[in-house]
Amino acid sequence: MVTIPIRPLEKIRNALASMPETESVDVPFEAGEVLMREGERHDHISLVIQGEIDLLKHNAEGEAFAVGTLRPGQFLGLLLLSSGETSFLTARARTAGRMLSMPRNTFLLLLYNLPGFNQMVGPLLLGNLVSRYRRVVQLHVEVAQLSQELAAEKQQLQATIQQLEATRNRLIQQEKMATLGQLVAGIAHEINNPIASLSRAADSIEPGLQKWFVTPPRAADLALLRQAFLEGLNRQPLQTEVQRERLAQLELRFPDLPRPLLRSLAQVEPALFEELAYYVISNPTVERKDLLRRWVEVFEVGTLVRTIRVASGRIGSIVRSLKGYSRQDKSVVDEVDLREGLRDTLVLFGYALKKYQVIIDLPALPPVRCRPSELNQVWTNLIVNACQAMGESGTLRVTCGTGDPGWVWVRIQDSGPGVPEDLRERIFESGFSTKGTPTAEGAGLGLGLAIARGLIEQHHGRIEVGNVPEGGAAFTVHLPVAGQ
Amino acid sequence: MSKIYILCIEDEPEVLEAVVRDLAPFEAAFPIESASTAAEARRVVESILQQGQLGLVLCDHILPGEDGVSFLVSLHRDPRTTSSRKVLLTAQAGLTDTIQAVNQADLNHYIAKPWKPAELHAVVRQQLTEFVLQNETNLYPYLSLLDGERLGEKIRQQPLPPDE
Amino acid sequence: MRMNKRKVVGIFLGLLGFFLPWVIQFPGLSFPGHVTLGIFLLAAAFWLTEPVPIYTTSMLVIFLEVLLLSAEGPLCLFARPPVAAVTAEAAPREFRLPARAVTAGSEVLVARPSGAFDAVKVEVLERGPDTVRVQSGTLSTTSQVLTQADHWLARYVPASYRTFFAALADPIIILFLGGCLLADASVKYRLDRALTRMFLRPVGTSPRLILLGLLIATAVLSAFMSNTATTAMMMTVVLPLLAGLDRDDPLKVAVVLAIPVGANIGGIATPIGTPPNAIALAALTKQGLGVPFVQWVLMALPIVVVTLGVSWVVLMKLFRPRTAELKIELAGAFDRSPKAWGLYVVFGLTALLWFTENQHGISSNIIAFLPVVALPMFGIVGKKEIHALPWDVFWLMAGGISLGTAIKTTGLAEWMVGRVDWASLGGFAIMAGLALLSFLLANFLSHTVTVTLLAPIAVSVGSVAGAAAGFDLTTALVTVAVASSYGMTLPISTPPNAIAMGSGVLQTQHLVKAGGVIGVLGMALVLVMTKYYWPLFAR
Repeated sequence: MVTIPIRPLEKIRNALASMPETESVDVPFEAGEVLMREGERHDHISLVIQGEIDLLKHNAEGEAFAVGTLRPGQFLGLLLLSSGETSFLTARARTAGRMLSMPRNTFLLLLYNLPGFNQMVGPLLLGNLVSRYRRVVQLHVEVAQLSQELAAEKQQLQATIQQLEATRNRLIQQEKMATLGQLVAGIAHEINNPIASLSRAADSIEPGLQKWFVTPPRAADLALLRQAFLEGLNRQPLQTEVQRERLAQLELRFPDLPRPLLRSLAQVEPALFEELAYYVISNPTVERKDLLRRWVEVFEVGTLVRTIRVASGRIGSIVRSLKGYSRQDKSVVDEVDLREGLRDTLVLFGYALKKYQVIIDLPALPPVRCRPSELNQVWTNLIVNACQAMGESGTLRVTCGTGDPGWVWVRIQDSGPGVPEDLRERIFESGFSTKGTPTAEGAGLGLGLAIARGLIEQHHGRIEVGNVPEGGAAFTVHLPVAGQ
Repeated sequence: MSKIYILCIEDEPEVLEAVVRDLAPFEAAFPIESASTAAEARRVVESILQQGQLGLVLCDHILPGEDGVSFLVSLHRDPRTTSSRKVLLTAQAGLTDTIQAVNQADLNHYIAKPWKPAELHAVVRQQLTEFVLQNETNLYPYLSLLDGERLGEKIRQQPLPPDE
Repeated sequence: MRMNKRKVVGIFLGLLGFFLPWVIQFPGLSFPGHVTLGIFLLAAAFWLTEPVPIYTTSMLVIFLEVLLLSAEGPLCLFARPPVAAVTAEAAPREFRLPARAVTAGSEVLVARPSGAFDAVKVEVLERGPDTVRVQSGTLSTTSQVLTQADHWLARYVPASYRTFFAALADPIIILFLGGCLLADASVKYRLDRALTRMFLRPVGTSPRLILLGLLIATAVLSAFMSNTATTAMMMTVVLPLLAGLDRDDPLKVAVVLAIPVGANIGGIATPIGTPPNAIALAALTKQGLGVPFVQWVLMALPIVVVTLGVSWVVLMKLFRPRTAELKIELAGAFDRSPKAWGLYVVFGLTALLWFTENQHGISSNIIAFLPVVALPMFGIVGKKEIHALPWDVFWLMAGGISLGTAIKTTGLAEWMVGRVDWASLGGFAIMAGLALLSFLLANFLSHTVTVTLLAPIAVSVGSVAGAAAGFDLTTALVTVAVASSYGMTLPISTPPNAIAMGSGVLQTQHLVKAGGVIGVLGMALVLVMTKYYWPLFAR
C-alpha cells in the first residue's frame, strides 16, 4: 500500500483547484452517504482528500459484500476512467470527509495533453493501480485457501452422511435382532416344555421295563396287562380339576394305598377302574394285589409312551414353523398363501401370547406374490407392537379377507389403548415410540412399524391403522393379489 | 399334626405329570396337589389351607392368563402363605427375565426346564427342610425324607419332653 | 391353664385326700401320721391326675412337710404340748403331777432339753380330781413333764426342716446329677453320635443285624444318659438312614420301635440310667442298705441282656423286614479337640471308679461329684449345660425322698402296713405284688412318679414283713424300679415312646403290640429274677 503524505496531497489539491481548466470542485460527504451506485452511470473521477469510503459489491441475492476501502490519495471512479460504462461497485462513505471531483472527460484530456497535470496526477494513479493489483493477488490467494477448506468440509459432510446411514442400518438391524431375540426366547420356551416331558418320560419308562425282565408276568395275565398298556397309551390327560376330585374320592375309599398309586388310578376310565377294583377287592389275594400294582405300572408305561409321542410331535411342529418362518431364499419372490406365514409366526410367539386371549379367524385367500420371510417380519412386528400395547392382558384378533377386487387384507387387532388421531401418521416414522425410552425387553426402538411399512411398500401394498369401537387399535395390511 | 402340602402349577399336562411323578417320593409325608392355571391354583390353596399348610409351591413361569410370577407374588403377600416356599419352573432361555422374576416375587429358587431329577429333588428337599424348620416343632417325621443333618441339629437344640 | 375335667377331679381328690385324715380319726395313728397321710394322698392324687406339673407337686409336698411336720414349722412351733415341773411330796420318790399328765397306762412323758420325750413308767398311789400322786425312781424335781399326756403332738419328735430341704441334696440326687452332666457333655461333644456310629459300623447291611445293633447301641447309651435324650439322638441318626426303604416296609416300624424299647431297657442297667433306679437306691440308702454302683449293674445286667435279645426276636417276628439289605452310611468321627479329650478322661475315670467301688470303698455318690466339679472347671461344660440339667426331675426325686422320710418318722408307715398280716402272705408274693403294681402304674404314670409312690410303701412293708420268708428289702426295691421300666405299652407311658410316635412312622397299635409283648415278657423275667437271682445279693 502506497501512502500518500497529506502535505503533497494538499499541495496537489491546491494546485488542481487553482487550475481553472480542470473544472474541479470540492465535494464534502457525510458518513453513510452513497457516493456511487452500482449499475448507474458515473462520469466523475474523484480524489479522496479526507475520510474513508467503503466499496461494496451486491451478489445475485442482493446482499452486499465489502470489497475494499478508499482512503485519502485514492481515486473513486478509477475503473470507469477508460471504459465509461455503468458503475461496477457501490461506494458509501464510512466517515465524513471530502474529495476533489472532476469530469471524467476533462481528466482524460488534461492527462494526455497537459504535462503539468500528468506530472502531478501520474504517480498518484500508479500508486492506486499498484495497490489494487496487490489486493487482487491477495484475493486470489484467499480464494484458493477458501476452496481448499470448502473441499475438506465437503468431505467431512460426506463421511457424516455415511455414518448416519450406517447408524440407521444398525438400528434397523438392532430392531430385527430384538425381535429375533424374542423369537428365540419363544422357541426355547416352546421347545423346552416338550423336551422336559420327553426326557422325563424316557427316564421314567426305564424302571417299569426293567422290572418286566426281572420278574416276567405270568402268561395268564398278559391280556390284562396289554389292556393296561393300551389304556395308558390312548388316555387323554384329565383336567386337573377332575383329576383332583377323583383322587380325593379314591383317597377316601382306599386310605391305605399310597397317593402316587391312587393318582395313577385316578387317570383310569372309571368303569374300567371299578372292574379292576372289584377284581381285587372281591378276593384280595397277594397275587391279585400284585397284579393290580403291575397293572398300574404297565398303564404308566403306556401313558409315558403317549407322552413321548405328544412331545416329539410338538417339537416337530415347532421346527416346521421355524423353517416356514425363516425361509432361507430371502430374495425369491413366490406366490404364497399368506395364512401359512401368519400361522407360523403365531406358533413361534405362542409363549408370549399365552397371557392373552388369541382369536384367529383366517378364511382362505388367493395367493399373493411376495418374499415370504419379509412378510413374516411384518407380521412379527405388528404382533409385537400389539402385545406391547396390551401389556399384561387383553385380546389379540388376527383376521384376513378379500376386499377390493385384486386385493387381500390382513388385520391384527389388539385391545390396548388405541392410537390417538393426531399420531396415526407419525407412528410409522422411524424413531417414533410411545413407549418412552427403549429397553432391551420391550425392543422398542420405534422402528418396528417403520420397517413394516417399508416392507409393505416394497410389495406394492399399504398399511392403515384405525381404532375399533370396542377399544384398541387395528392395523390392516392391504396387498395386491398375484397376477394383477 | 397338620399336613404340609406341595402344590404344582403347570399348564402342560405332560410336564405337570412329569413333575408330580418326580416328586412322588416326597408324597410319603407331603401330599401333592396340582393345578393348571393361577385361578385354579388359588382355589386349591384355599382348600389346602382348610386341611393343613402349604409348604411348597412349584409354579411354571408362563401360564395362560395370569403368569406364575404374579401368582407367587400374591401368595407371598397373603400372610397365610408368606412362609410357604416358592420355586419357579421356567422354560425360558433368557436369564434376565428369570432373575427379575426371582427378585420381584422374593422367590426361594428357580428350576430351568428341562430339569434333572436329582436337581429337582435337591431343591425340593432343601426348600421343604427350610419350611419345616421354620414352621414345625415336631421334626421327627421329616428326618428320613428331608435334610436329616439340619433337622437333627435343630432337634438337639430343642428341649426334651419333661421327665421319664 | 385350661382346666379340663381330669384336672378338676384331680384337685378335688387331692384336697379331699388332704383333709380327710383331719376329719376322720384312724385309731392307732398319731396326729402327725394323719397329717402325713393327708400329704401323701394329696401328692398321689396330684401325681396321678397332674392338675399341676408333677415336679410342682413335689415342691408342694416339701413345703407342706416343712409347714406341718418340721420342728420349726408353725404347727409344731405354736402347738407344743404344755410342760410343767413336778412337785415333790414329803415321802421320798413320791411326786404330785397334774391329773392329765399320767396316761391310762401309768406313764408320764418327760421332756428332754432336746425336745424329745421319754416315757417313764410310774406307780400311781392316789388319784385326785386334779392331781395324781405317783411314785417313781426316775423322776426328779428338775424333770419337766407334759401336763397333757394325750396331747395330739405328744410323743411326736418333729424333725428339723433341714431334713426335708436336704432331700434336694440327697446323695442319690448328686449321683444322678453327675450322670446327667456327663450325658449332657457327651451330647455337646457328640460323643453319643460317635459311639452310635461305632456300634453300628460292624453290623453290615443285614436288616436283622442292624436292628440288633440299634437295640444294643441305644441300650448302652441309655444306661448312662437319660432315656429321652438317647431316643431323641438315635432318632436323628437313624431316621435319615431309612430314606431308601419302601414306604410300607415293616422294617421301618421295627427300627423306630427298637429305639424306645432299647432306651427303656437300657435305662435299667445302671443306677443313673433312669430316675426310678436312683429313687429306689435313695430309699435303700435311707435304710442303711446302700447298693454300690457295680452291684446294681451286676444285678440288672442279666435281665437287660436277656430282654434285649427277647425284644430283638419279638420285633423281627412282628415286623418282618421286606428288604434283604439296607445300606447305611455312617460318616463322622470322634471329636479330637482338647476339651473333648477332657470329657473322655473325666468320663472314663468316673466310670472306672464307679465300677471299682468294691475295691476302693468310696461311695459312688461321692464319685459322681467328680464330673460335677471337673466338667465345669475345665470349661468342658458351661453355664448353658448347667442350666439345662433336668432340675424338674431332681425336684420330683427330692419330693419323693422327703415324703419317704415323713412317712417313716410319723409312724404312718407302720400304721399303714400294720393292717395286713404280711408274714402270712410270704415274701415272694409281696414282692411280686409290688412289681405288678409298679408295672401297671408305670404304663399310665411317669416311671419316676410310680417309684416315688411305691418306694416308701415298699420300705414300710419291709419294716414289718421283714420276717416273712423270702422277703428282702433290696430285692423288693430293685424289683419295683426295674418293673417300672417295663411299663412302655402306651404312647404316653414314657417320653421315648412319645418321641417314637411323633416320628409319624408308627401307628399306636404297633407300639401297643410290641410294647405289650416285650413288657409282659420282661415282667415274667423280673419275677424270675426276684425269686432266684436278686435275693443272692441280700445282706
